[in-house]
Amino acid sequence: MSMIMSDQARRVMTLAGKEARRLRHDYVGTEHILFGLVEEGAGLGADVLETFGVTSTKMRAEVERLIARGPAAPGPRELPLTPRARQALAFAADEARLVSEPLVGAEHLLLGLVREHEGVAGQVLRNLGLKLEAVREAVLKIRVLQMTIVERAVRPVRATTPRKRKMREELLAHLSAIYDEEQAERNDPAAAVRAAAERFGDPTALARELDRSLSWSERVGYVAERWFAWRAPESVLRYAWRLAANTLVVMVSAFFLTLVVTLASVGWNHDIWTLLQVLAALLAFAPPVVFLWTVGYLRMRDAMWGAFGSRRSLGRVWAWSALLALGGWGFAIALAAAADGDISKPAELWPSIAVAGFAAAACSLLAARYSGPMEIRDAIWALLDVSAANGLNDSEPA
Amino acid sequence: MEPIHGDKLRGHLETLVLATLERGEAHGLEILHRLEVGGYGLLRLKEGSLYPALYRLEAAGQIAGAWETGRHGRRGARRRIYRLTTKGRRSLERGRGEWQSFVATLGGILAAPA
Repeated sequence: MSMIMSDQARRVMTLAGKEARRLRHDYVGTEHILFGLVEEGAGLGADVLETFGVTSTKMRAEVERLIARGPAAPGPRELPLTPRARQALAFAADEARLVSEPLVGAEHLLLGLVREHEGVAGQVLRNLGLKLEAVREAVLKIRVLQMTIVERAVRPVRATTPRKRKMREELLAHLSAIYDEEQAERNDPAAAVRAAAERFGDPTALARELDRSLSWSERVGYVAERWFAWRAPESVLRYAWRLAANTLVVMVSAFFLTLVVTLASVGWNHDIWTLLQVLAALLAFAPPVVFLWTVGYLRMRDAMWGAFGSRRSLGRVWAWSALLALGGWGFAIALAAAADGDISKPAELWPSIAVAGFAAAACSLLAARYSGPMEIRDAIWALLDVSAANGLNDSEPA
Repeated sequence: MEPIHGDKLRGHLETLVLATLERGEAHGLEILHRLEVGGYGLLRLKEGSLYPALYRLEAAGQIAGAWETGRHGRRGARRRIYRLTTKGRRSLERGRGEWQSFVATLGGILAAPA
């Protein structure tokens, strides 16, 4: 998990350390990080706190009320983070990733503190009258508004997912850069968003231009991908069902194609019979396996990353992986049985079957680990509500 | 000078982009900056429209794009940097030649009567 911080976030952490020393604590906790945020004074996190009326004076008073000063000034070495502070930083990294930011910024630190609601920062904010959900909404709102504009421009484009991912990233980088410019001038987030949207242009018109800029290979890729890609907002079960049905169609076509081609060229013999048995087994078993594997993979991935309502749970990851392994074994056994007509094969085949099962689970784990975050980000974009009735003003056509 | 509206010069946007990249590689926002400084600010083009032009140029092999590698602690998403290719340079030269004959031809006809 990337914990690379922006300059601003680094300054916040430095200020946090200074405050900890001032209070004579020998650790850096969530309360010090919150203080650092308020002191840093710039960037989305501090802006939001200001609008809720949290000043550094109020904050300091509240923290000193909750925690006594330490007995003696701590030594010169860098102060360690408390477990809660470390958890808050981990949440901050999560939040950054979820909104396509590779660097952890000050606003993500604030969100991390908000999520770690048992820490002192959480208590301080609550005592100062903040509802934690309100803070989260305020911090995310600007980013979500920016993402909505970009998604309006990119969603209708008929290109493959990787291509659209690049477009989203590039357009969001541009839009957030001009938002930052406008915000620096106006110091009013709502007006800055409007100004940036105005400069950017009408997303719907942009979508048409983007679509026209595609090469033919990208268009072909789009059509091919669409067949088995997830279509927001379908549920996991529905997606798994659709994939299984597509698999059945492919298998049936393969079956008849093979039958026709081999009969025409080679004529009938015993090997053809075996081949047909295997294909028939594939036809019968592949769709249910695809269904179960899809559900298992998605549940395992969501448990690994704590996405879409799933709690982050290593236990669940292992449980789903075990089920995927079982599925792999079952499928391999079924194929072997079909090839030979019975299950009581000599022991030599079982190792390969076991490998098949483990391979299935291992591949799924690797896929979830390495492309999971990207898939989850794609899904978050695809689930954005970009209809006009969500508070955005449409700018003039380009 | 009267602002010129987007439509009349949109067709030339790609050549203009190639010209700004002649100076050196740049990302989208920087390209717009160079265009603005060069007088393009008078043209009411929406910033988003730059990107379809960049993608067309990239697909035609006239520019090459790559994600930036160093971050320098700058906040915000990584940027895509574009540079001119050899093909792009040739296209730019062609574009310049065409523009000059265009101006020369029309200039002759539009010149005020003596």
